[in-house]
Amino acid sequence: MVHTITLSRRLKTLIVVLAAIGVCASGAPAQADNTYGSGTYGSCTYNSCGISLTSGGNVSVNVTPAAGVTCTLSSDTVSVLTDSSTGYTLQITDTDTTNDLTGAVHGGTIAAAAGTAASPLALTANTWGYRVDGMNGFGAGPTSAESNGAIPAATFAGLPLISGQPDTIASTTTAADPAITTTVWYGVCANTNLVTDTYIGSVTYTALVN
Amino acid sequence: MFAIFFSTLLSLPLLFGSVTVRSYICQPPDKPAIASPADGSRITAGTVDFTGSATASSQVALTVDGQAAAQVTADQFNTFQAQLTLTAGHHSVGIASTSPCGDATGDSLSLTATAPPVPPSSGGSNQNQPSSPPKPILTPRPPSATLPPGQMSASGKLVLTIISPLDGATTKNAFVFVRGTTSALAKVQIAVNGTVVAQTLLPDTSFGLSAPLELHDNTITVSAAGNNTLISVTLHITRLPTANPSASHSGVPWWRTLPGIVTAGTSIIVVLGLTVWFIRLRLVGASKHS
Repeated sequence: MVHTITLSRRLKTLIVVLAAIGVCASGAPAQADNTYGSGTYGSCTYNSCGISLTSGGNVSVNVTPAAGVTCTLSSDTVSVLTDSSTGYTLQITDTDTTNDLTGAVHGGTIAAAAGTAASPLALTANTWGYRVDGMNGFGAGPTSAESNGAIPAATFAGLPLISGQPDTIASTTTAADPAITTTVWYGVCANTNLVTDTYIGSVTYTALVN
Repeated sequence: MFAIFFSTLLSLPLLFGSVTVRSYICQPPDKPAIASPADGSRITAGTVDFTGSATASSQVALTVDGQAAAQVTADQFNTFQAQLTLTAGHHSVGIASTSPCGDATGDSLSLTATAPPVPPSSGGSNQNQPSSPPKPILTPRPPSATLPPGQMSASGKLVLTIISPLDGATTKNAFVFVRGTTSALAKVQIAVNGTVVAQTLLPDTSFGLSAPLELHDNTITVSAAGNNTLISVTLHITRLPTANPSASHSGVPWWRTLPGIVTAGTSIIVVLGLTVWFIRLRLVGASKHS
């Protein structure tokens, strides 16, 4: 008899706790769509506040210098998928404290382009940079791939350092589903003074739900 | 290969993705060059050491009179060394290098190889002996003004300065001590009449190497490799015969005493003729007495 009374008290305690959780949960505004597993909350539809980002992973911009300045342009495609009804913003920045490309063997560098996203400039000897057609001050383009060619007419910017303000390279105000792609062009120009080596740099893309 | 980053499951409103930019700068090889022997020099027929410059890791091909003779790989100091066998006569030695980034051809050089000396006959007739005495194998020294001390060879990256001996010097010694400096860390090599006789083991900015001399004319090529550059200086040293050629048979001792202090474990280098001996001293007979 004593055991029955105790059990009853525990059940009452559990009910009180569950009721409290229910009150807290009901603090969210009521939605018109009362179907389980659907509806919107703020800018996100049910279960879609997240975002996905896809990129090529590696970009090869190889140059075999000849007389004068030789340049190569390669691209990376960044895809962003989100169901956020307010869209997303895609930003780019260097990954570490230097935005130069660093030689893996000899430690030499290919300097970042002098231009910025707002005021990009043509590449010069032994510099590298990026551009996104139609964004910021880059101009419409279109940019096309080039291998061991002359200095391109298109303008480029050096990557902002991770400690600075990242450059915005894409932005939407509506959901991106299916994914929206952004083509990021990377250019490297070199002359015969540069030591043979593999020069490496790391770039970070950041996708944010607006 | 694609890098895919998801944050959907965690419902994060922001996501980072990273991409690596790689740029392989592939420079075509520099024009290779033979530093030693020097163009137009006379050498002794047989195995001849060739040294020169070529882009690091490039394949260096040497030809003799248009025929492939040797293929070696240039080292990290942009230098190479190869041995070719040359018969007596005039030869043209060509050089070319190849790398994944391209090919380059250097200037060919002309050499005159003379027959090696014939050992003196020990009696009896020899039908194969030429009736006339063998031609001297010594390099006739081209006329050249004696250069002032501190003879230099310079490129944009490296300067080689010879402190001693003076070009055109004469000596009765069987060897000469070549002393000099370089403007950057460099390995130095010395060739006498086309044969490499000494080299430094580690890059340094000063050097002192002994080089054996042949009787009469000696063309000494001092090559320095460093800072991605190989340069050389050529000296002409004349070794005069001793006043009494038969001294070694007339009571003059065969040994010589050289001043110096060495300790156990020290390595010394002794040059006898064209042979270089490395001798490491051991402490013999030492014991502790209580």
